[in-house]
Amino acid sequence: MRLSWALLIATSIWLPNIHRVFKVNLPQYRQQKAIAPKAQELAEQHLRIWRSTELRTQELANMQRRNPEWDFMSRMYFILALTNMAMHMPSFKQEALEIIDLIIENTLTLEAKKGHNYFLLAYAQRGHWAIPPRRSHFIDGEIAVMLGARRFLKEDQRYKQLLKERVELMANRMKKSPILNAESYPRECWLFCNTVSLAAMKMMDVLDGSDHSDLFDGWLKHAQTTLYHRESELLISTYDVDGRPLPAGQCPEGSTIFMSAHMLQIIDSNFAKSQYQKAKEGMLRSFLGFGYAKEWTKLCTGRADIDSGPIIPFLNASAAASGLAVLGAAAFNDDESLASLLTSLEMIGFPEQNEGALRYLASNPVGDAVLLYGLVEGPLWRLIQGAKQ
Amino acid sequence: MSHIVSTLLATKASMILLWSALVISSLFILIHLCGGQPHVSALAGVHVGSSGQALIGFLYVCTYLLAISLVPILLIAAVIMLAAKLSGAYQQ
Repeated sequence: MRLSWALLIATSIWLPNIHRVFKVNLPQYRQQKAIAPKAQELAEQHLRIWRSTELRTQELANMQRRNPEWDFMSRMYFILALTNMAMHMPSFKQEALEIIDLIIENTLTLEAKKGHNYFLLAYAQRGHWAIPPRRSHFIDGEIAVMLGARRFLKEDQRYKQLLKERVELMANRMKKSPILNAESYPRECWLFCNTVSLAAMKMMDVLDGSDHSDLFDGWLKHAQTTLYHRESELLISTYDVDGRPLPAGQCPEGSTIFMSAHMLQIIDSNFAKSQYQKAKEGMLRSFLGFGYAKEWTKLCTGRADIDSGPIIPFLNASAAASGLAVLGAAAFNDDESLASLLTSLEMIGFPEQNEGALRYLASNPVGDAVLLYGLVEGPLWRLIQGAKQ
Repeated sequence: MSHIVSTLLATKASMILLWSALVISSLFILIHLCGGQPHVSALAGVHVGSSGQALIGFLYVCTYLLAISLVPILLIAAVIMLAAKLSGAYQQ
């Protein structure tokens, strides 16, 4: 037999079956009404970081050095995860509250001591902010979500006041924009941050009986016109305060749209679902049984940046988009996509288990926090959606 | 058994395949032993450390991918070549 024939046969035997080696059993990762074993192990790794001052200082400093946004975002995702975990398992509530309060206090202290821009990239210091006051919607929105999530577990009058102040600031800034979107960086509005802010406002509406429905309706109206990418029918990522797309954000992006669709679930669930479906059609792919997300659809290709991370050639796979696609697939109960994405994670994520704790060596604490949130997400959003009805 | 071994040794192509699999596996093990695994986050662009460490992490990922995708193909192909050789010898 010729060597080339042998190689061809061997390839056709092995490659279509390689995914079976890494195939995941989904209930081990995510369950609708309980914390799955793998999610518990991932949470344990984060709990160790926040329980140990030394480990916390080291991990947060590592992320600060590379990208201060990651340090900040890991806090929001972990608080959202802890809130959902406590709702899944009430016996965990007290411990969750202790860690959540530690994270919130640490975050607020850093913001107060080192400035509102501490968690932003350096270019936040430069340029002209169009909407006064000079604040970042990224910071305000995510802190507001942290405060809101915490209050769903247990009321706290101080956090109630802090949430009210943040939401008023955000709503006032958004109303100064012709498209009801506020900046995260000078002359830079992000879909990600604006949808997080809307979710925080919705949380407050449910908690305190306030009503931001006019703002939600107005925002959606502008989003579905000004921020709409016609060909892909998806929302673009970054734009000026008047809705003009910025060079880095003319295209819908995987590292934004899956998270934004999830945030919009509590604002307009039908629109959110249609955005997820379009994002799935345009960006979720499978190769040899391994799922991944592309940063862009084939209809509009942008340029790689720190949010997209490196793009794997030929496949155009993005680690950031794939990580957030796990959250999207989980939130929209797309088990097939979720299993496929997790299969890839097992193959290329390099899971490391250490005494009941799990982390992925190819990721970092913010990536693991997104994943953890995706694996336990459910009860909090269901509570908010139920209250809406 | 000795017949299989002697046939295998006599099959040059199978030996090349097996040696290739061995080289790739050895390279992967070597980079693993050199401490490449903790730096695999270089692939996702979230690595914290020197560029040298990131390079080791990147090489680790490359050799890992070769080890899990190519090595089994080489081994299966070697078995196929061997089986064909044995089958041919048996028919003769």
